[in-house]
Amino acid sequence: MNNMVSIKEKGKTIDNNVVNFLNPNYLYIPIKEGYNLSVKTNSIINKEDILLHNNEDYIYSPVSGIVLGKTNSMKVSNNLTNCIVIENDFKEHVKVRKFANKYINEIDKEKMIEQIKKYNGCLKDLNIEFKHIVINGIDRDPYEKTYSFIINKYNSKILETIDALATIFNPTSTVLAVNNNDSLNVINLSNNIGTYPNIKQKLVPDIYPIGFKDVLIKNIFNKREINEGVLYLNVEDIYNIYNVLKRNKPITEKLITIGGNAIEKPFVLNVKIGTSIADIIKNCCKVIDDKYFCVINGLIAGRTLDSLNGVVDFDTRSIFLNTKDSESEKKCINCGLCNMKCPVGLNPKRIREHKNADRSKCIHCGLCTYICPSKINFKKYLEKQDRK
Amino acid sequence: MNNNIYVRSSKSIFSISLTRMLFIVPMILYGFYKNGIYLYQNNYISLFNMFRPLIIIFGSAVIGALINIIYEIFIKKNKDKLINILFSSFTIEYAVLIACVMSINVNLLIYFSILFILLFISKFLNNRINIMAIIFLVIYAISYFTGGFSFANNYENSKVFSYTLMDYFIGRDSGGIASTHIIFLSLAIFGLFITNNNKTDITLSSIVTFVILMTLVSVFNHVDVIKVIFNNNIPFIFSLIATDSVTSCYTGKGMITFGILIGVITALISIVNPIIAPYIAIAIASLFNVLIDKYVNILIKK
Repeated sequence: MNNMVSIKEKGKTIDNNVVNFLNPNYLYIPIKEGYNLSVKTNSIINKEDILLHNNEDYIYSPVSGIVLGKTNSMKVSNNLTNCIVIENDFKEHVKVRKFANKYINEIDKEKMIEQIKKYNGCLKDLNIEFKHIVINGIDRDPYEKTYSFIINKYNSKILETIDALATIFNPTSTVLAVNNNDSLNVINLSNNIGTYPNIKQKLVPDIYPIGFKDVLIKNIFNKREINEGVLYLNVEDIYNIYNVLKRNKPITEKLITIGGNAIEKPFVLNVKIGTSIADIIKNCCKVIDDKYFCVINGLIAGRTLDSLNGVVDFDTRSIFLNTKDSESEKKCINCGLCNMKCPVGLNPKRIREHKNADRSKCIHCGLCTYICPSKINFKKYLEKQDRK
Repeated sequence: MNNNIYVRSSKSIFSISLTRMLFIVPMILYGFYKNGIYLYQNNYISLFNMFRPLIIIFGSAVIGALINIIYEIFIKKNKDKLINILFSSFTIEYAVLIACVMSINVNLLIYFSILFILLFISKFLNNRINIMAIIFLVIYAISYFTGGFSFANNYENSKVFSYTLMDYFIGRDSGGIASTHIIFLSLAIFGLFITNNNKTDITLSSIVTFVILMTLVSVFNHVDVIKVIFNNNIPFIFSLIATDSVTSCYTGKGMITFGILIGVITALISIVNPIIAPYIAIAIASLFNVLIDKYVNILIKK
């Protein structure tokens, strides 16, 4: 834990009410590589109809409306991506009425995996060999509140689903990791977790970057347990799995944190997958400083968008409108903080000085850049090789 | 464009420099008492000379600030805020630390001139050598050839002392202006360690190496180990001058090797001249800090 940092300034607090933005005029569903269209241009589709398929993987329509065709003007992670454009008819028509599973822990293992895969409930492979399950309830970025919000809002559903996974997969241990500073969630979970003896609640210190997969696993399990196999899920996956198992509901909506110093108040937004970021900013954000940059997935580790024609996809956790840090980069003072604090033991200073230095282990947490007293942007150098 | 920075830790050259200087304030105050107030109260010096320790320390800080202003504003044409310019590098801290280890008897004109010239030149040396060690060595050499170099103040010169271990701990022995109080120094190092503002690995490895070697030497040479360790500002130099962020190693193993190297060279040169030994050791080690960091880690990996 020595090589992690406690981040004290976390900005304005987020209140407990979710803001809904579920009625955009148009949705742009990114066409992933290998996926084929299941609908025709100008056809009418219902909500949760299959839009794209790749063998047994499906992507569903978040709204009902008209398929307008393809466009390549929208971006995912700053890359122009082909998207299907759907014009929303605001009717939310659903073709098939879904049944409800009363007891999700009674489902057969194979059927469960098949159902989760079919309805896109979890983007991770559940078919791996593992003896331990860890559920991450800690937001990756200290300025994000999405996971914390999901636990707060749906804690009984989360516990029920984790218990179902623990019953069906029968692992040696099932751990739900929660931030020890997240007092409301800690209290709520502590009150309810007693009825689920399969689940162990693990309080982890409020330090960055403990919300990252590898760092969290290393902090919870010993080497032997890691070698036995660990299934890593986050609370968002668990909530999606709950929806799939309980109601056969595919992922079509997402909770994301909207924050940053250029908006009046941060909040958690419930949004359809495929909503354009420009629409979200226009309709949901009270911008107080026009000179903002749009950053997705965290202020420390996130990426700045080149333009606002990005879309919310399955991996989007947060959108920040923030002004840039204006301090200029100074000469390295050899303090060694970047080297000392790197959670995976890399030497960012050396990587900056040597183009060929190995940076493959980098988890892109941005801690080296955050901590540097000379304000050196190590992220720039650490990402260079990845692009090559 | 993709990797702009939005949030930063509060750690900066300013915060590191200021924290390091704040932690030595008790030592400076004790130095003022020991080399100024006490001597004045016992009629060893005049009222003006009572302020001599403070004049040297604050004068040095002003010179450090002036150099940063001249270099940043007039040479680099930096249009930043004044506070950022003053703490754009560690020059003020360097100047204060040199003042702390300087003899109270130093000629002020020579001291301030050398300090100004060498600190200014160091701005163009790209931090290749520990400039504090070089400045001390130059001033020592000049003082040595112009009438001798002594740490003893007027009071210490007038009597013969036999210091106990406790005397060393509370800084009664002769030494630099504000570098003798071991208890205050230990507290400062502990504080800097807790706040992550000092390369404590260098301090520990250099002191341990030096103590072990001097203990071995004392077996054959009947040297007073306590005196050798605590005299001549060695704990202060190993704690604050050797750990200069810019010219020392930064990797864990590199820092330990760097400290051991300083300890070994200091022990070797101490046999000839214990006053300048740590400075020569630091100057030599600082020249090789990049190589030490590189090769020690490669060797250990192999």
